[in-house]
Amino acid sequence: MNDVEKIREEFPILKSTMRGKQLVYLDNASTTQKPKAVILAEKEFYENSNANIHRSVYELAEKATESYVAAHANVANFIGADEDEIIFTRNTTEAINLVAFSLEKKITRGKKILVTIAEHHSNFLPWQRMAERTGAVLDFVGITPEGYLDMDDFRRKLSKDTAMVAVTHISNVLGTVNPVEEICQLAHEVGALVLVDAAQSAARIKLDVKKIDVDFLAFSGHKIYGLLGIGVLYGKRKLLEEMPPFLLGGDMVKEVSKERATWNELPWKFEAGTQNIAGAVGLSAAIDFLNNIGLDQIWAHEQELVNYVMPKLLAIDGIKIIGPKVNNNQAAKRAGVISFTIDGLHSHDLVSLLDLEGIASRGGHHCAQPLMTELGIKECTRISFGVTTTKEEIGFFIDALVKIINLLRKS
Amino acid sequence: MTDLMDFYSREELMEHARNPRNEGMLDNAAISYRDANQLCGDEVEIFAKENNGVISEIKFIGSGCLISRAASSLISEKLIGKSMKEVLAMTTSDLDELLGAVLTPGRIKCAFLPLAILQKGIKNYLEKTRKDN
Repeated sequence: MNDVEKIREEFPILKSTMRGKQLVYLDNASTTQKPKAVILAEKEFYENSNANIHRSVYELAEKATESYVAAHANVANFIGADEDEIIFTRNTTEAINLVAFSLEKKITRGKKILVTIAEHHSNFLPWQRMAERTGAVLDFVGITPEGYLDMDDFRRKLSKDTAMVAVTHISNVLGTVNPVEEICQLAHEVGALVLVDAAQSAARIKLDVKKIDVDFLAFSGHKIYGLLGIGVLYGKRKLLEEMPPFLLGGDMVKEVSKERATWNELPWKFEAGTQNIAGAVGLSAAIDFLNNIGLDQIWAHEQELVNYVMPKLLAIDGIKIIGPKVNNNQAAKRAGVISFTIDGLHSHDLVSLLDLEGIASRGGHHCAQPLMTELGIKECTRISFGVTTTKEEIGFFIDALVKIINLLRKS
Repeated sequence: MTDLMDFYSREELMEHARNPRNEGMLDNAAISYRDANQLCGDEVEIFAKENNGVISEIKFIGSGCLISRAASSLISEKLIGKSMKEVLAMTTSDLDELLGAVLTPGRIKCAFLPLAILQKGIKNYLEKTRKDN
C-alpha cells in the first residue's frame, strides 16, 4: 500500500490533537476511524433520503428502501454471500446473541459446545448461557505456547457430540489468524455447526463465506471503517430458514392474528423494528472504501507494519509479547493487533502516559478474561493497526513507550 | 503539563505507589470487602477496624496500577481517625484533594476503587451490626 498518506487525507479526525499533541491512533481493534465518504454517506442519507423503509410507498421511502436493500447486496458481495443471507444487527455481539438464541432448540442436553479460550466475551458469554439453558457441555480449545490456536487440542475435543463450534477469526488479544476453513471442515465432518467471529478480520482479510464454508459469520460496521451501531450476521440460507426469529415486532412478520404469526422472508425475518438505515448506507460506503484500496493491499500493509514493529518491541527490556513473536509462520499469520506486558508496570499507567503523548492505545483485559486467566495475567497493553497507520507513527510510539518505561522505572 | 503527568511525576505519590503502606491482610477485621475494577479486572480487598464509629486501622491487598496502589496506600494512612460516616460521605473530589492531583475521567475509577471498596465494606458492616442488635 504505497498511498497511506493519500488514504490518511480521507480521515478528518487524524488532523486533530489529543492532550495537545498530534493524534496517533493505534486502537483500530476497538474501533476504526471513519473516512469522509462514510461520514458523507450518512449525512447525505439524512439530508436527501430519510424515510422509513419497506412499507411506505412514496418516493422518499422508496429511495430509502432502495439504499437499504443495496447495502445488503454490497455486504453480500463483500463476503461472497447471497443477499438474503445478510442480516443487519447492531453489532457483532447482537449477531452472535441472535444465533445462540435461535439455535437453542437444536442443542440438547449432553451435546457439546466448543469455543476457544481466546474468545472475546461476546463470542463466549452467549455460549456459556446456551450451555446453562440447554444442559449442553461447554468445552474450550487451548492455545499453543507460541499463542496459536492448538489444532491438536481442537481435533481431540471435537466429537460426534459436538453440536456447535464458536471461534474468532483473528484474536483481539493475540492477533493470531485462526485456520477457519480447516476448522469448518473438521467440524462439519462430525456434524457440528460453526460460527466465526470476524470482528477483527473483516477489515483485514478478504472473506469468502462459501469458500470457508462457515455456517454463521458476524462482524461490526464500526470496526471496518463504517458507522457505529450497525453489524452483520451472515448465515447459510437453509439454517436461517429453519431458525425461529430472535426479536419480534414490526416488519419481520408476514401475517399476524390474535393467536399466531407467520414470519417474513429472509433476511427480514431477523430484522425486527425500524432498522439503522443510515448505518447500513454508511456501512456500504465503508465497503466501497475498502474495496477501492483492496483487502490484499490492506493485509500486505499490515504484515509490513507487524514486521516493522516486532523487532523494535522485542528490543524493549522486560517486554513480553502476548501471542506469536514473529511473523514468519505463513500457515498461521499474525495480524497487526499486538498485546504485550512490561515487567512490573501496569497497562493503564502505560496507556495514560501514552495518551499524554497523543497516542491512543488500549489497556486492561480486552474483554477476554478467560484468556487472561489462561495466560496468568490480569491485563496487558495493546496496539492495533489500520489502513491509516504509518511506520512514522510506530516509530513515534516506540520512542514514547521507551521514554515512559524509563520514567516509571527511574524514580 | 496535565494533572495526570503531575500524578506520575510527583515523588510522594510514586513513593506511595511503589512502597505502599499497610499492604497485607488484617486479622479479625470487622470491615472487609473485595471488588474488581471493571476497567482492567484488577482486584482490591480492603480490611478495616473501627472503634466507636471511628476508623482505627486499614490494610489492603491486591495488584493494580500505580494510581490505585497510591490511592490504597494514601487512604490507609489518611482516613485513620475519620468517622465511618465521614468516609461514607467522601466523593471523587475529596479524593482529588487527598491525592493532590485531578485525574482524567478515564482514570478516576482507578483512584476511587479502594475508597469505593472501603465504603461498601463499611455499609455492609453497619447493616450487619444493625441486624445483630
